[in-house]
Amino acid sequence: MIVKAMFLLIIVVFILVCDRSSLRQAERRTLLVYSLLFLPAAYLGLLFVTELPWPNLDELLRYLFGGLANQFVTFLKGG
Amino acid sequence: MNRMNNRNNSLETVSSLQMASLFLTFVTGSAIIFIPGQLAAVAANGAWISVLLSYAAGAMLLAAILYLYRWSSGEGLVLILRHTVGKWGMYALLIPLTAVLFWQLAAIVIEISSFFKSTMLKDTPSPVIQGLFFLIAALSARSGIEVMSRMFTLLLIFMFFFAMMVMVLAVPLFHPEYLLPVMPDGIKPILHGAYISYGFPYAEIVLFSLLLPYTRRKEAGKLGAYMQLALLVNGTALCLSIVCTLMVLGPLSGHLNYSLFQLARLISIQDILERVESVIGFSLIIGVYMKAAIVLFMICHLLSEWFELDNWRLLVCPVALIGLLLSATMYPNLVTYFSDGYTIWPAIDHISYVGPLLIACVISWFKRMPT
Repeated sequence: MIVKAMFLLIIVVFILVCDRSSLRQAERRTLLVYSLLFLPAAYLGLLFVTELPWPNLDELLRYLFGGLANQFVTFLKGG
Repeated sequence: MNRMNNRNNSLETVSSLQMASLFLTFVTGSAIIFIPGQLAAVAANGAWISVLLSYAAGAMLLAAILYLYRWSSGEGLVLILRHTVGKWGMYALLIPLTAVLFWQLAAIVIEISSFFKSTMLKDTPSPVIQGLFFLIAALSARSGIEVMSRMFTLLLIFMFFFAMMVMVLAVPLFHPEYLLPVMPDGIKPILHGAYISYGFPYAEIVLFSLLLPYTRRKEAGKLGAYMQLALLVNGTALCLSIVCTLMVLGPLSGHLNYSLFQLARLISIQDILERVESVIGFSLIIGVYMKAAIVLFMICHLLSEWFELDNWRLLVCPVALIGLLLSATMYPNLVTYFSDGYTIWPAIDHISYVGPLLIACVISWFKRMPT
C-alpha cells in the first residue's frame, strides 16, 4: 500500500511540476476543468492504493450494457 | 467558433493523406493481431466473411462521418452535436461517449500490459508497465497531431511491412483445405463474428469525426477518397490475416491468442530464419501505442471543444493519469476483461459512439448548419 501511494504521489507531483508554467497562464475555465479531472483521479487513486472493492467504470458499463449484450450474443450462439 | 485558431490552441493542420494514414493507424492498430483469433473462435472458417460484413458496416459509418463533415463545412463531432441536438442534448450524448472513451483508453493499455506480462516482463508489476505506456502516449499526444501524423506514418509502414512479411514467410505452412467447410454451423456464428469485429474496430471509426477538422481545408475534397481507401486497406489486411491464420493453425486458430504472433513462431526457413515472432511483437506494441496516443489526443480535443478551453495540451496529463488509474484498477481478472471486450464492447460503442452520429445525421437532413 505504501509503495503504491508513493508511486501515485510521484506521478502527481511530476504532473504538477511539468504543468506549472502552463497553469499560470491558463484561463479560469481551463483551470476549472483541469482541477475537475483530478476528482475522478482521486477516487481511482484511492481504489488503487487501498484496493477497496468500490464501484468502478467497468462495473458501471457491465451493469448498463451487459444484459442487452449477453442476450444478443446468446441469440447469435443459437440459444 | 474555430478552435484551431485560439490562443495556445495553435493552428495545426495535416494533409488529407496524413489524416487518412492516422485513420488507418487507428482502425488497424492492434486489430490485425487480436481479431483473427477471436473471430476464429466464434465463426471458425467463416471468420473472413464476418470481417467483410463488419467492413461493410464500417464503410457506411465512414460515409456518414464524411457527410456530416461536408454538411458542417469542416467541423467536428462536438460542434455538429451542438448545432443539431442543442447544448443539453450535446451534454446528454457526450457524457456517455466520454466515459466510454476513457474505458477504451484504459482497455487498450490493459491489453498491451497483459501481453508484456505474459511474454517478457513477467515479474514487473502491471501498473509500472501501464505507467510507462501512458507516459509515452501522453508525450506523443501532447506534441500534437502534426507530429503524431508524421511519426505514425512511418511506424504504420513498419507495422504493415512486418505483418505482410510474416504472412508471406508463412506460405510454406499453408493448408488451404483448412478453410473448408466455410459455414458448417450456418449463418449465426458468422453474424456473431461480425458483431465482434463491428465493435472492434469498425464502430470506433465514429471517433474520427472528432479529428477531421484538423484537415487542411483546401485538401478536404480528397479526404473522403483517401479515408475510404484506408478503410479498404484495413479490411483487406484483416481478411488476409484471418485467412492466413486459418490456413496455418486450422482448428487451433480459435484457441490461441495473438494469432499472428503464434503464426510467426512457426516460421523456420532453412533453419536460418527463425524467431520471427519478435517483429510481430514490435508491430503489436507500436500499433497499440499509436492507438492509445490517438485516443488520448481525442479525449483532450473533445474536452477542449466541449468546454471551449484555450489550451488542450494542459489536459493531457490529468487525462493520462485517469487512464492509468483505470487500467490499474479495472479488471483484476483478465477473463472478465476479454469477456467484456468481445461481448459487451460492441453494444457499448454502438450505443455511445454510433448513436450520437446517427442522431446528428438524421437531424442534419432537416436542418442547415449555422454559418
